[in-house]
Amino acid sequence: MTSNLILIINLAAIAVMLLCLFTVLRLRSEIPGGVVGKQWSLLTLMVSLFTIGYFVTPFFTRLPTDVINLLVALIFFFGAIYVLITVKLIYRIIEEMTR
Amino acid sequence: MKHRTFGLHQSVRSLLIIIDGVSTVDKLMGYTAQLHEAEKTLSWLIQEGFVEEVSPSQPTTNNKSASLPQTAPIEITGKLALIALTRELLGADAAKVIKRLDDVPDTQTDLITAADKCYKFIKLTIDENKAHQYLKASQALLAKLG
Repeated sequence: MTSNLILIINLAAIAVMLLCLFTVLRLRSEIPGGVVGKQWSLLTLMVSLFTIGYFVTPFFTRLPTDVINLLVALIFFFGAIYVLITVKLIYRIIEEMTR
Repeated sequence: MKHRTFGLHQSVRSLLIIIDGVSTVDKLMGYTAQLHEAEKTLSWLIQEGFVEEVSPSQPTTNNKSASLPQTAPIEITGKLALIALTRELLGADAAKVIKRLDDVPDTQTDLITAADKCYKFIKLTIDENKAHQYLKASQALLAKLG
């Protein structure tokens, strides 16, 4: 029961991440450069990495505990960087629009 | 010009739009500071008969002009000049910015506000350096036309 629930959540997470990747790539062509364009390239790279990482999650139960702990730590770390980039980007946009 | 019969390159067309039959070459070069090789383009337009070179005392039309393409007189407005500048500076990316100028009233105050908004848009989504160039050029252009 629990393993099925975990699998469903993992598959849902992968689906959401694929949607994110699709959206990021589609918007990429609309923003060729500038303040947003530069950050968008970085966000695209990170979303791509997250998507690849999410595909590994259904196999988590088969991995050794140490590897799982390392992966979770990496996900937290890159997640924090992702949030930082997003917050800084929003800050720059608001700063530019209210100047 | 309206129907683009001669298939002119955008930079040539931009310059042709600005030529009003009254402004001197110096003044035109001032408007077109951001246009690439504007002087060469102007010489080409004269050579090909799209525009006619006249001295200040000479009337702007003569017998020869009857056979010339119907390009003048076209009143150059701040909005047209701003659109020409946008096309010249941004090339393929200009359309998104020009769309923002479409509904702007052709008054000095509105154009200054619109140019500032376009600057922000260019800075955020196209190119920071081009945005700074655009701001300087648009301010100079609107100040001259105003």
